[in-house]
Amino acid sequence: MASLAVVLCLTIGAVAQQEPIKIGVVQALTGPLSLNGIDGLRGAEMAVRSINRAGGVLGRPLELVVEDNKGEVAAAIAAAERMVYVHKVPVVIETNFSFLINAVHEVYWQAGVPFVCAGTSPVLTQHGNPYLFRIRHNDKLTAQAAVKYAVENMGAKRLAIVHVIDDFGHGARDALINAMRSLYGIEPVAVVGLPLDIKDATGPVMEIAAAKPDVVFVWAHAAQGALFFRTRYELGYTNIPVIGSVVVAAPATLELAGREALEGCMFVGDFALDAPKVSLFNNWYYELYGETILSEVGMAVYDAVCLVAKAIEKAGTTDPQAIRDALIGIEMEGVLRTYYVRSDGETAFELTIGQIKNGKSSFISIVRFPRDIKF
Amino acid sequence: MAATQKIRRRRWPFFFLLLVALWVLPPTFLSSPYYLRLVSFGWINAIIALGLNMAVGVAGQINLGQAAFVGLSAYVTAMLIKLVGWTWLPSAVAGIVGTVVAGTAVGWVSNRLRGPYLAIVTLGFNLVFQILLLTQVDFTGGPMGLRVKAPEIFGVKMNMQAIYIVLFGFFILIYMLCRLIYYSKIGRNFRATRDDEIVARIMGVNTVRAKVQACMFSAFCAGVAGVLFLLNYLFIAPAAFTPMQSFRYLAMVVIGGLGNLLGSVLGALVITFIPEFLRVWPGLWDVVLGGSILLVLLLFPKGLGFFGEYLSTLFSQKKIEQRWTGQIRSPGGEQ
Amino acid sequence: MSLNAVVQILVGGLAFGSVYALVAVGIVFIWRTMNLLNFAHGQFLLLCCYVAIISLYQKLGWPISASVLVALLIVGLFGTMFATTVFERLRKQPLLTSVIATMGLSLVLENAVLLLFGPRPYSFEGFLGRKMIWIGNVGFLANHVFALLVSLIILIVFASVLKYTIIGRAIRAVAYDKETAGLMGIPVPWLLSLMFGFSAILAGLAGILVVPVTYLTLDLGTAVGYKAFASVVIGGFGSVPGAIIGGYIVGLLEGAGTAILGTAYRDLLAFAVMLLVLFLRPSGILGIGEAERI
Repeated sequence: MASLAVVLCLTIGAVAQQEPIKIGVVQALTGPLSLNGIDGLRGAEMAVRSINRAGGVLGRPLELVVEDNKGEVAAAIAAAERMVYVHKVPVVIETNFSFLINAVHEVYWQAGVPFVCAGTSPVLTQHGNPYLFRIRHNDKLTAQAAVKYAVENMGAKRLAIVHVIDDFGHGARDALINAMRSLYGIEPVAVVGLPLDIKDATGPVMEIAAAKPDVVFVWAHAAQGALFFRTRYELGYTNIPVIGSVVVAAPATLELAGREALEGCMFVGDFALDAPKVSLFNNWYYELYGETILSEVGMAVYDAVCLVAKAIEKAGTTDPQAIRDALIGIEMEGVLRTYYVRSDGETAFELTIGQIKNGKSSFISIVRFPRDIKF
Repeated sequence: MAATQKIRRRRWPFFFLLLVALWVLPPTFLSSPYYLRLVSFGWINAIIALGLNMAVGVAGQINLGQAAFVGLSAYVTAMLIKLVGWTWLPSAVAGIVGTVVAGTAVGWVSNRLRGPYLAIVTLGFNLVFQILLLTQVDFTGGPMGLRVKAPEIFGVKMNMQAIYIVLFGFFILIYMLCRLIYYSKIGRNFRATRDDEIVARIMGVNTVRAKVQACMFSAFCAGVAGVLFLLNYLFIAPAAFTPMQSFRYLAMVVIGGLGNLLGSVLGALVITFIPEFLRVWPGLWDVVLGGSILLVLLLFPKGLGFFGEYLSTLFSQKKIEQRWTGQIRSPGGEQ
Repeated sequence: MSLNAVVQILVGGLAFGSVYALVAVGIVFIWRTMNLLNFAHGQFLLLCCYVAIISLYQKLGWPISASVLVALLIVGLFGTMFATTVFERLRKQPLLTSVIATMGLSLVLENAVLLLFGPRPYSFEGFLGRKMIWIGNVGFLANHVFALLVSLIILIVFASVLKYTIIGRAIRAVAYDKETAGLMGIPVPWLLSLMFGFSAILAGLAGILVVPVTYLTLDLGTAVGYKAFASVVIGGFGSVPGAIIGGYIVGLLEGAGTAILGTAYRDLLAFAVMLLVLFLRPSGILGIGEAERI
């Protein structure tokens, strides 16, 4: 598709004709998860463009080697192994789906190749894989921040959870319940799972309403979240406050549900559509691809590529082990946040809390966690 | 007579050599896990396709949910290893037994139902299985999947090479089993049931039993394949056993030729390997797959049987006789 | 859960049920006349919706009614075309072949839509826009009610056409006995194609009715398709009234599944009941299907 052409153009790009440095990108380009995968690939392409325009890495142009994991386990493992054994790239940017990362991380571990993934599940860094780095926040942090805000700033006592039924949603649900228990010793009054292919959200909304919560946490992707928010709005339950993941401020959600449906909803996470950097990114994305960003994965992958480029510069070589060691300790300002790479692979220690007001996402506060926080 | 004797003696060593080559060469020369695991995957799919073919192509039973049977065995094995703490061997046996039981149940309960019903039953089974996998997180790990450690033989962890050798061994076993059944009385009953059930009944064939046996065997193959899948990847997730996967297995059988055993193997290898090498145009592969199924069925309604049959003639004595002498020794030409 | 909540969920279930009924009728039609299980039926729905909503309404800016009508026509023609070329050949094959072939077709159509329109979900407000209808203090989504009423009207019109018009009688004759109908001078092949096209139009219409209460996503075809097959089975395989009733039952089961077991199990109840019906009462819950016992 267009990606192939773009890769070709990038190599003939604005950098001196030197042997390019290749990094791998594995995303779900086809299959049911392709929405995020295509977005991720575009983010990578954009990063390579801006890096090469600025002179490349170590004076050489950056080049992407792309593989498709099709959203499937066997294909993901095959893609990872291709990266490592056939293409022999020194570092890979992986997908955002935690179950796929679960499947492939051993491949990179055995081969000693560092990779940066975009999943938020707390499980990922618990594997102890020294070559795994994640560019997004650990959902334990968002859960803690959300629960804290609900209880301390909003005085909530009854908390409900709505989550999408996939690795992301389950991880978030567990993190939220753990946060409630460990911080305040309370249990959720309702936990509702949204299937990935949910077509009708009347049930979940009624179930939540029946539990009479003070705050409902919503952790989902755009399609499911938008349906929930829209139904909540249409059935007239906007009196139940919402604190959600970044889905609340995602352009796709706002388009699908309508900004009025999200009015007053709050979010905890890493980006807000109307934040200056995100707006710039969105505009550039629209110029290149003719539509607004599909999800947050594009920006995460963009930041990941920039981080990797920085690591290669710092290491001064394309040796995988050196890159891995160089990653640790890097501080970088990205589109989504400021990153600090820790040896256990975590990079995100600050979160934004925001709210949708008058159809725009407005900033409420930043929550900063100590960089030596234990997960 | 003399001509056929010579041919028989000439063909077998070649066949045997090919077998040994496929068994020994890949683990020896394919040093990168990527290629080795891919080839292993091909043999796993071949086992699934063979089993499916026995039920669908040979016995005429529509099975749209083969992936669920594979998944059932994989998950039972993985759950026993991870949650109960059993070792590989008893868990695998339990997984296979469980799948066979499920297959027998499905076959027995729906044996009085005609084609369309069976199709929907197996599809429904696959869908329900998916939902259960995703929702019963405490047992199945839910969408996050389950990871297991490689089995140990005498305290040494099996590596990729050892796994391949075991895998290929099972493939040979299943293939021979299929051929055995195909040419046996049971196989003839299968084919009679497929061709015309009423006539078969009149001829004294217990079609009910034949259909159940076919489902049982197909589930057995799926069960073995499920364990091998777990062995090959050491990780399973619900996404690996969707109705789309079931369709892929059907595609392997169809492209190879319904009822044609060697064809199923070829179909499986083709569908496993081609998408790996056709990586230039993502998204187009599925269109190509679906389109080629359609084309194959429209133009060659019996699947690419002629191709598989030609290959079979290279190894089958009767067909060789047919080619050389123009006569068939025994009546009722097989295949 | 309060009574109001239950009523709301059930109305939503019935709305979806009517959508399933429309698609199920098409499936049964095709089965009765061409002896074909069309697993690509959901993709006709998908195609029609994408063409109507994206190509015509959003991109070209046509008014909704025109977009819908033209898209329905397109999908009807598309269905007719497929009937005369692909499905005619499949009709003479054993059932297995047609099942696999239509599944292959569904793959082609769905990926064609992906390649043409991309993976992102789209929102469509429908003819009425996003409004609520209040009866007492229970609120119903206007689009739910719209779907229910429109599909009911269509089904009534359809039943009347079948019963009282000449074409209806011809169709019934063909469904009953193709050969004899042909001998009586009815142009069978032409009629078969027409019926196929009409089934596709029903599916497309079902899609247009359902998208306003959910979103236009790529998996809409398979999601509705599976439920439609479940409807056909539960209502009694092979019977058109059975398909309709089956559709509503599946819709209600979805609602019940959500209300009793929780949203995650919404689909489980419908499919589990489908399996139970197949095992225990293959002629459908009402016993009006063709109980194929051999």
